[in-house]
Amino acid sequence: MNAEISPSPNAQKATALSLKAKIKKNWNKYGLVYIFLIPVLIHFAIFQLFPILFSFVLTFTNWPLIGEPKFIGLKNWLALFNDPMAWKAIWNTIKFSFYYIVPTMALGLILALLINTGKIGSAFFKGLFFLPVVTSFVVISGIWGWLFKGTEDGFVNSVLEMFGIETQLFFSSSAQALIVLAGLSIFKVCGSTMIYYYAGLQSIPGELYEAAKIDGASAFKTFWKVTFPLLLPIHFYVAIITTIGSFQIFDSAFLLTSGGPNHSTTTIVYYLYQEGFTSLRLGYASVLAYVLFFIIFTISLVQRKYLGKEVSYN
Amino acid sequence: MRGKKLVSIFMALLLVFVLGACSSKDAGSKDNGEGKGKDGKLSGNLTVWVHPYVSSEMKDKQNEVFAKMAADFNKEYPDVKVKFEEIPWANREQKILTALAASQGPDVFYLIPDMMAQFADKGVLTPITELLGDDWDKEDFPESSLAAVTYKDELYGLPILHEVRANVYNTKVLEAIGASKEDVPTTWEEFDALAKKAVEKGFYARGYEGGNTLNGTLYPILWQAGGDVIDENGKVVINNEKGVKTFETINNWYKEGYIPKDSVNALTHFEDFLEGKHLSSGATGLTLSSMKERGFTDYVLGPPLKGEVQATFGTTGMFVVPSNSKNKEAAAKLIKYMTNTDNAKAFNELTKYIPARKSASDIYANDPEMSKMTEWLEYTRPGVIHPVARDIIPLVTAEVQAMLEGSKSPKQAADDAAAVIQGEIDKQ
Repeated sequence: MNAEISPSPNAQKATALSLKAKIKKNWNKYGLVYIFLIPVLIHFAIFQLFPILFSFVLTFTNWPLIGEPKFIGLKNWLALFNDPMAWKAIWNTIKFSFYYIVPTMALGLILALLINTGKIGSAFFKGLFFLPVVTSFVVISGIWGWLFKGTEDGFVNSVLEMFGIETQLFFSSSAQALIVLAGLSIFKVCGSTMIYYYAGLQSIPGELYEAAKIDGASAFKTFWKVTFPLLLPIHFYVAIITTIGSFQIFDSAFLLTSGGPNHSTTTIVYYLYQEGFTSLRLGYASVLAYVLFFIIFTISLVQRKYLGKEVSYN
Repeated sequence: MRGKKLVSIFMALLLVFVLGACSSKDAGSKDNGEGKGKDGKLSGNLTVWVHPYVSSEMKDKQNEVFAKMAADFNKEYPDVKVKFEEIPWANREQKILTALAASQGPDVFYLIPDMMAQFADKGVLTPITELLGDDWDKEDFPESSLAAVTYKDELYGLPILHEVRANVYNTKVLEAIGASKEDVPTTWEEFDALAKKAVEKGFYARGYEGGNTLNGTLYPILWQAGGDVIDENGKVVINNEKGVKTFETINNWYKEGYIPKDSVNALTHFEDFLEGKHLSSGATGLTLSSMKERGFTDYVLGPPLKGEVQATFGTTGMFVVPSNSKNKEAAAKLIKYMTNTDNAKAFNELTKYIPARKSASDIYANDPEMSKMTEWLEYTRPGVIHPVARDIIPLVTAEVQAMLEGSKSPKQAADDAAAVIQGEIDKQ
């Protein structure tokens, strides 16, 4: 005996009618919106959704880019657990994030506070600090490579020598290379972080600062008790985008260190690139892409839980 | 339950679709028609991907050379339309592979031997032995040239150029250490004697671009010591006695200041050579023309050094046909024309490479430096010819770097290099 109670035919008809009515009502209200969304949805489906699903299927195959993919089940996923290089790449990326996220946010905030003073020249400095953002990454990498050349005649080494500090190897040191690459990324990105914080600072009502002044709050206390907490949505947004950016780091490792020395700058995306396009193991590269996705997704959820609170200026 | 079923069906359909989409059986490059017309003559379109072999100022001249190749081919095959497209050198293999995967790739493209072995092994290339037939002047190519384009007894391309990596010495540094142009070393003993003097005077003996390809760093030194990476039988031998000795040599250079401190991961040391900080540097024909263009004349050319063996790296450039070209026969015939004596001469005269054909090798009769380079061709090796050749470069590089940083002994680094190479071979 079937214990489930089926709804009566009349009730089913009524539900169908009400669903039809709902769709019609919805269409009357949002029909035009849906029509305008079609191009975006098509673009999303072709260039975002399809590659995401495509690469997921590839994780179960062995495909050297040309020819027919061979279905190999979970072999690629299992290979991940026996691949020390993959774990090293993940660890390198986490270390890079550690060197990159907080300094980028802090520097962006400091620069925003400087240009927010409204004093003469702040517009000039706004442009100056933003300049690296609009400069080609290849050009900036070239300059960085020249500055941090690991010999006595390198620019930074020449400066350090004046202070009696011995020659540093920078890109040729497993201990320093990742930090120098993080420095490059901070230099490149902090201009845009500054703009986000500047926009946030502009939206804080002036009367809050006046009230703090009347209460006799020091500049530091005003910053710590008024400015910093009211920038919470900006902190959240900047934390998310810098985290995603840090986990996708590739260009600088590709251009300046080739993942070395001794794999110390081999990040997940660099390793993924090598596996996919040098070793032609597209299936395994797709597994790495999904690992990257899960890491970013998890961190974003954690950040949302702790930073994604609404802020009221009242 | 119903939802789960739908997801399963969707994933299964997607898998079928993906496998179908990736299938190369019916995939062809671009919109090329099948290779023969009604009268049985070759017809259709051919797209050739070439690279900037010369500086941008000479681009027009390069285009003229390629136009002549097409014109020569069209004299016999007028119904085939040939189009040359220039692709930048950077990340060329990725561009080629992704284009081929999307059936938007070329019918003919340029390749070097270590990539050829990998591509052939993965089924990216078409063997052209049968397509060429017997009429392609086989005897005009030196054995080493043909070896560089052959994989598992199949011809995968025809060579158009050779490159020899010799040495240049800074004459001002030679002067500073009491030597002259006539003292250019030919053996490692002679080089070591000069290098010692150079280091004593505050120069570096040579560069070592530890972040660059092993073809320009470890491998030539290994070959000169009588060693190899993988032997003819496919056995990994990088950690045999000669291999370990090579690792020790490089380590000693670093510790004793023969090579700069940033050698661990440097990408280039050539500027330092031009600035007179290094006694010597590796040099190809392109290096020579680049120095001339920059007005740098304080150098003298020297041969590949001899240890137990006189050897150096020298690539062979070839044109190949991808496996998903729809016009394979015409593509193979075009390659024959592109690499014939006249076109090989024109191409190499312009690009300052060395022709791969014996009948074209007289182009540098009036150029003493390039004549020497041509003579040294016999000492060249095209790198490691094995499907894992490209995969092992970053892995072995890391072992050398670990040694230079002091975290591994030369023996340990050589043994670990052998282990990672074997690991890559086992993955195949």
